[in-house]
Amino acid sequence: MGKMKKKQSKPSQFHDLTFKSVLDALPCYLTIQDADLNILFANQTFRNDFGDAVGQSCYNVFQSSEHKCRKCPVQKTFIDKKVHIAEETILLKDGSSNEMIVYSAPLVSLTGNVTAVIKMLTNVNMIKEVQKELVTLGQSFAVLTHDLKNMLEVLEGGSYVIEEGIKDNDMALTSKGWHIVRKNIHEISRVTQNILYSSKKRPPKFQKVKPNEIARRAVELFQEKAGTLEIQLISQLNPALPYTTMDVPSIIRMLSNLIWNALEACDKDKRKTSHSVFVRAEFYNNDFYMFEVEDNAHGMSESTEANLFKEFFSNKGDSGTGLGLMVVDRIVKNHKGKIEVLTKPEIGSLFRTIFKA
Amino acid sequence: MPETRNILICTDFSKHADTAFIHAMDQAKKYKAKLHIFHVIMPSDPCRNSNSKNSSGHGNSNEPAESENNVVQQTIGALKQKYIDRLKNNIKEYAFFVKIGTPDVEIVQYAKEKNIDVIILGALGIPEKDRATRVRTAANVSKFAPCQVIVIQMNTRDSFGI
Repeated sequence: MGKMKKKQSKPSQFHDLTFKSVLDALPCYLTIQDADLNILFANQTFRNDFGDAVGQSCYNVFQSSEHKCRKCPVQKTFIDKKVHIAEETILLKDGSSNEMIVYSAPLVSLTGNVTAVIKMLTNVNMIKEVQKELVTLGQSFAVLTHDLKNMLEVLEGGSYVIEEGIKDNDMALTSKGWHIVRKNIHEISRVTQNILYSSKKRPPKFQKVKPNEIARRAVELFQEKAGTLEIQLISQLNPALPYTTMDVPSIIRMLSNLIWNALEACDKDKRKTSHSVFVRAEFYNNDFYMFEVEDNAHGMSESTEANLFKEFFSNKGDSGTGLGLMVVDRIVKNHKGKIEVLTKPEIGSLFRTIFKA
Repeated sequence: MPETRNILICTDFSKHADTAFIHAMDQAKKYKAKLHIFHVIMPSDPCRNSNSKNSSGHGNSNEPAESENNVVQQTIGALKQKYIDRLKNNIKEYAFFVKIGTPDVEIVQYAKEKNIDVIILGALGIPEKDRATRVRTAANVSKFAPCQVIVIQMNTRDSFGI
């Protein structure tokens, strides 16, 4: 009996719904158009974003154009009475550009003629984003494999030098080989950590810590490398900075990438006889603090500066993956911070990251 | 020496900036150059208001909110009130500009956009305890600006009674 009652209650639940109200509730744009592509009907979702466009032409509303689109699926449906699918970029009133999958389906009269065509548009921005990520992933494999191959070749070279040194009982040669090997182990380790960071989305684990303490730990990691390269690595850390919440491993990674880039830039710059890298932790204002990493290397051209945070952009040739700054960008985003860059060719660069205290 | 057509004077309304302003007027008069009087307002939330082109992806050049526009207009009014009388009789061409952001980044950016030939600014600006930021504006502008930079140190003999 209970089941019977349930079945009977269903029609009464929905009997108020009209055909139009169902169309209005669809989470996609739905229009019915005539052969001239004039809109005869539009559902509520459409009207919310485009207003009452009944009577206007489809191409005028969706493309702000006076002319019909070249590959119009609606026109195809009028010709062959079949369902067609297409991709269109639609401009909304707020100026945002949206990728849409478009379906066109015929409304056929009793005499068999197409009297109108239904055009349905579904927003696929999210799918496009995923597609973009997959493309990036493919690129990343290519770029990283190439760079890792280079590093492994140098490792092989280093190990050969060590073998020769051992064979000849030449400590100087062995030491030279070991230096090559160790440098590349560090580099492979750094690239691997960046790959790990950029490939998995892990929620940041925020903890209370002093920014200057984090900067001190990051600088410590590079003192030896800086010494080897004869670059001054100078910390200017304000001890008065208060405790703040941050994901410590991420911020250390961010600073490590910036310091590494600065040291590499200094190492490559052969025009100057002495190089310095400054690492600062300081108040930005009363409510925000900042980290700065500044070098006096060769600086960047305007085009390099413009492309800095693009995925896998590197100006280091074979020795850079472009992954470092991408990871920096991601960490800053995860902390709702901001990056600022000052640079001048032949003078140097300053990277500043700003966070809420 | 290239022709000096555009001179940028950066002011934070401090005594140092006033001294720099006098030098900027002299330079503008000497070269018959346009004088750009420029002030940068620190944003209440620098991480939200990312209108610098150098900021990372999340820094899409957001239009300043209406309240920020009001602050900009008020500050332009304050600049005019402070400097316009001195400018009127001395400088043929001048303009007031106010931006919201980090001072060094905004000054360098503005100098690039407007083909500024010389930037003139005070060495210290307002006292550190009253300052909105610890950014080393004079040092960074001197280092990264695309043009000549003149940093004016105040004559402290008067204030120390020397």
